Amino acid sequence: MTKRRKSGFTLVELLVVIAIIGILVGLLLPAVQAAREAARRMQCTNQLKQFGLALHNYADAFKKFPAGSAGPSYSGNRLNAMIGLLPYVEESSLYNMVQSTQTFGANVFLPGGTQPWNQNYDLWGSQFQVKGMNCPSDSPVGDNRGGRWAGGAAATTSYSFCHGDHQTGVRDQGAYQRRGLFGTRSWAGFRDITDGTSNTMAISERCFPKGSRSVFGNTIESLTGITANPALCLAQANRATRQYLPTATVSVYRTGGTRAYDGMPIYTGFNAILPPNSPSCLIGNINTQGVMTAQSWHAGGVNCVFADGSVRFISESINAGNSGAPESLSGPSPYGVWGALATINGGEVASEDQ
Amino acid sequence: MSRWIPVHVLCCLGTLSIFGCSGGQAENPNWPKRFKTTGTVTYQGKAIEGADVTFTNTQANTTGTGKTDGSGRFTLTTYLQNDGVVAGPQVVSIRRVDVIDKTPKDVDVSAGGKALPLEITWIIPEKFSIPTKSGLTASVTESGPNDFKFELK
Repeated sequence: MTKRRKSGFTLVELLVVIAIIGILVGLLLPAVQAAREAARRMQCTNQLKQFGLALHNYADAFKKFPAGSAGPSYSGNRLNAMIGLLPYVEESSLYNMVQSTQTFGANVFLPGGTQPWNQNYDLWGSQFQVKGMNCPSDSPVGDNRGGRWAGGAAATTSYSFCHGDHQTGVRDQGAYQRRGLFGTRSWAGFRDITDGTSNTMAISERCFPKGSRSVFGNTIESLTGITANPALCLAQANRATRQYLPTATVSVYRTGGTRAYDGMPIYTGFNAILPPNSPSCLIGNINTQGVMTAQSWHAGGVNCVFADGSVRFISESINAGNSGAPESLSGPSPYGVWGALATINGGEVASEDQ
Repeated sequence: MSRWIPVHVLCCLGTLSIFGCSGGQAENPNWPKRFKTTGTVTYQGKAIEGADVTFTNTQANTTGTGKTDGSGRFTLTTYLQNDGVVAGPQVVSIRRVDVIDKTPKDVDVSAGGKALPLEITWIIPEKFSIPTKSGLTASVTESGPNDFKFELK
């Protein structure tokens, strides 16, 4: 009588099999994550393309591009170009609601909208979020002002309009510098873009933070001196970890994109002074001017739609000239190719391959 | 006992391959070559912490920045962390300022609330923070050692 050996696996065999599976999954995981991010970036590119086409359709209809910040006086001239683009991204119903008298609760609002921070105006709230305004790589959080907004939060956008290569803010609410395609109460036409539409940026990205001291989505306040020397802003962060240094004052306001329709550059504008994915800094609080940098969660740069409607990916290692130079309000941009792409009439010869 | 080792090694490799593939910003071949640059900042004999130092190369038109530590030491960065600055003559600015925001916390400046002016105290006089007025220069060479002392008064 022989005793039959029980069939089965030894512990070592099992561990070896599990280890091999672990290695295979480990190899596969980064590839899958990269493919997912590539798909998100592609969708983001496509959304920017839609806004590029909307800009052209708007310009066909009105012979001008929309203004970076305008709107009726009772909105504080603070409504951005997104409002005008709504009918061209299949949001006519939202546009028509903004352009007609609305009663929300006890308040009656005149046609054309109201201040972008008015939490009693439903149309600015997250319940009327336009899906195409948020990049899928981004994690948007709307300005939380309560009121009638769903969840208390405003509608958000990941996309910001190019205001030029000079420092922007409240100072520019009255006087437009004519450097970028968008500005306060300035409607630029195709004929104003003498640098060529393929060499002029229209809309790029500004992302939301994932961490309270991350360079991405956070802004430094009270940095006097950046007007003469924007490079001071670069000194506030560790360039390897992309975190602000402990001595820097990070603003408590979540700014870029937190109000989708606020025309103040700090909310939906950017300027091309520091290269993409660099820090953003202001000379005082968020009502002052400063450096507002294009940023995204795509690895290595930002998407950008140009005035000719083409969408290109701009590397964060683009030639951004001398970040220690003060702004120049006439002639070529001191900020290299990156600054040149932001001006409509700087007269530079630009190629973003540099 | 030795037959267990391969299993451990494989497990380690598997874990490494998950976490091993993340990198920071990469070098761009169009960027000029930089050389490690360090220095010290003192004002009236005292080492200054948290001062922003910028070196602007007037020929190559590039700027490197750095922040001083507790002993007044700084290391400059142009493109990648601590990569130094482009060799050549440099115009230097040094800035150390305390800014106090006097606006009360319940004033919502994001909704057009009125902000009070900032209270600004220059720890190092303002003129040193402006490259064109600081009067500070340096010359960074390829051979080095590029270590500079700025003893401000």
